[in-house]
Amino acid sequence: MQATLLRSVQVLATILVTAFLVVPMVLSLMAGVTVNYFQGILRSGVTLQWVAEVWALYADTILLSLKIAIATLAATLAIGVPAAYVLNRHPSRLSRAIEEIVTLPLAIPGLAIALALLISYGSAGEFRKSWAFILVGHVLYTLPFMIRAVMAVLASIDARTLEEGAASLGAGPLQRFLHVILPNIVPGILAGSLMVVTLSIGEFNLTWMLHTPLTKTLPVGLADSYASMRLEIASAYTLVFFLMIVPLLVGLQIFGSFLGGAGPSGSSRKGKHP
Amino acid sequence: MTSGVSISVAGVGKTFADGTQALRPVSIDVAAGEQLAILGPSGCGKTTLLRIIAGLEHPDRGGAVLFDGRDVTRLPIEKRNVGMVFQSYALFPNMSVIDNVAYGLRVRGMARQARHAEARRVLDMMRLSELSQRRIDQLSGGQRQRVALARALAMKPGVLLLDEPLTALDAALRDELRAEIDALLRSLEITTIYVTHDQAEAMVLGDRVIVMEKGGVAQAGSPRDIYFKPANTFVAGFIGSMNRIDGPITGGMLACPAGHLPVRAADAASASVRFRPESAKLVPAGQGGLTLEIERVHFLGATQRVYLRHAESGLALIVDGNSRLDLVPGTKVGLAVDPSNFIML
Ligand SMILES: Nc1ncnc2c1ncn2[C@@H]1O[C@H](COP(=O)(O)OP(=O)(O)OP(=O)(O)O)[C@@H](O)[C@H]1O
Ligand SMILES: [Mg+2]
Repeated sequence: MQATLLRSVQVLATILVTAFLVVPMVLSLMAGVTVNYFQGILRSGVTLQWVAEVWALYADTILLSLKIAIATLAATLAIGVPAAYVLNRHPSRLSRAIEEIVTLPLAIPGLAIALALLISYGSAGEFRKSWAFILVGHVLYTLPFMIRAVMAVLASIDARTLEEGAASLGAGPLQRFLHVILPNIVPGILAGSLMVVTLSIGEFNLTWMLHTPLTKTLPVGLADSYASMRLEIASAYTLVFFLMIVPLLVGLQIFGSFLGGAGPSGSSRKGKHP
Repeated sequence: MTSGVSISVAGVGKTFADGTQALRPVSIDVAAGEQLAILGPSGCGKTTLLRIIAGLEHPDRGGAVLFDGRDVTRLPIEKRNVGMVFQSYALFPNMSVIDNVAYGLRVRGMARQARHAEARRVLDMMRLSELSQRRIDQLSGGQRQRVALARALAMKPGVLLLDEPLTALDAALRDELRAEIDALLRSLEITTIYVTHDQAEAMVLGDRVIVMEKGGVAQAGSPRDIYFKPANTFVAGFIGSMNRIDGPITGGMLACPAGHLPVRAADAASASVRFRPESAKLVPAGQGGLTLEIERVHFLGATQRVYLRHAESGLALIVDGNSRLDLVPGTKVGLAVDPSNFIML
């Protein structure tokens, strides 16, 4: 009797919390397809007009965000995975110091990073004006997440012993990395990638400081539209943002579970002793 | 399958970067095809020595490792053609059993068909055929151990190095695998170095046993020599059980509070004699040189271990004997030891 009561309270609490989190999101998304927000969706009706308008006005910011996210991912993969590997394989006071320094941007507000970049390269003409400037900021900001995610997995698989095992079988350094280390750190790489892509697409503070009128990303455009457009357009923008990011995340997750579940892990069972 | 190489370790020491001297310079020769066991307590440098022979660690300046007379000291492990079995197995979780076993051949550039055929042959030999498509996380500890051994053997190494391969397994499985490994290695005639802290394992598997203590070699010899003729008190105490009686020797008799024992030794004001529990014989009280009280009897099936004590002096001895003898704790017995069974150190 008491157990069922407790259970009902738990369910109710869960529903309330979920509603608290989801309702604003749903209202905002609904506003994006409402003809007139102040009259409400029921009286004024549903439209895709605002979405179309957002696309017309801000398509370039959306594409730029995608471009920067992909470039950031490529850069963090190219730098972060080998860096994590080296830090893991050669533990020393120096490597620990490097790890800390790389993690530093996490603790520093994006605005401060942006300021530092502006002071360093603000006068570097073409570079300052190009999207590569924002890219550098994003890479600085997201790299620690990639390195940390990969290092965590490297530590959990005892990479050193695996590599010694491969070496004893005649594998050289590159073969050991490609055949043994890389396939076993895929979960860490995916987790890191997921973080990097979402952080890059959603990043506002740093990007807002670094952007020029020609290098606006999606969140910067969103702020712009909130400030200067009808509420419906800003909401439609949120809707577009959602439509972009959700399939991306789901896709990455599916890709991850596909790779992770390559073997029959569901039927994993200890074998009998012969 | 393949004939092993001979190994020469010459003046090999190891001081780690943090200043730990794990190995004082040691020299060891292993004949081609020999099975050598390295035995010693935890932290004595067994793994360090094995890793230097494997090429996973560099020896200090002046040390050299030779395979068949060829200096391989500076050669990395991947160029040494050594098979290695790690305590933690180091199997690749991203590959099936057969791909693990075939990996050494894959690295050598053998085509998939050929290397799988070869791997299957080794798996058959180790009675692992049914497991060939399993993933590593679907294997039991004993199965993993055998896959690790199969993987090392598949590339036909000249040397097989094993670092406590059975330590992670339970006792029954350990006994079974110990016998299996022994039979296998003897049939293959590979030079083998087997590191363990288990003396039974070392005795069974080693043609020769090297006992290590604190980074140095305490004794090298056949299991028999190590057991019956320990070179020093460390080896005597580390291998098996050992009794010790202290006292002065006069005219070929050792005197102690529990009585007198004939020994073959010169007179000395104070001496120690040692003997194994199975080299002494229980006799009726009053006979034999010593008289002690039975404290406890542990029945072990084929034999029983009798704990004796001399109440006044605290002298404690153990004697292994016929388990059919019905002994009652608290009674007094005599003890006789043949002088030839004493170990004088
Ligand atoms: N990388 C290292 N850096 C510093 N000291 C080390 C290192 N590896 C081992 N040692 C030290 O060297 C000594 C010998 O270690 P080793 O691993 O060879 O012992 P072992 O005989 O294999 O012991 P066990 O039976 O516990 O495995 C130990 O005191 C150990 O702490
Ligand atoms: Mg060890």
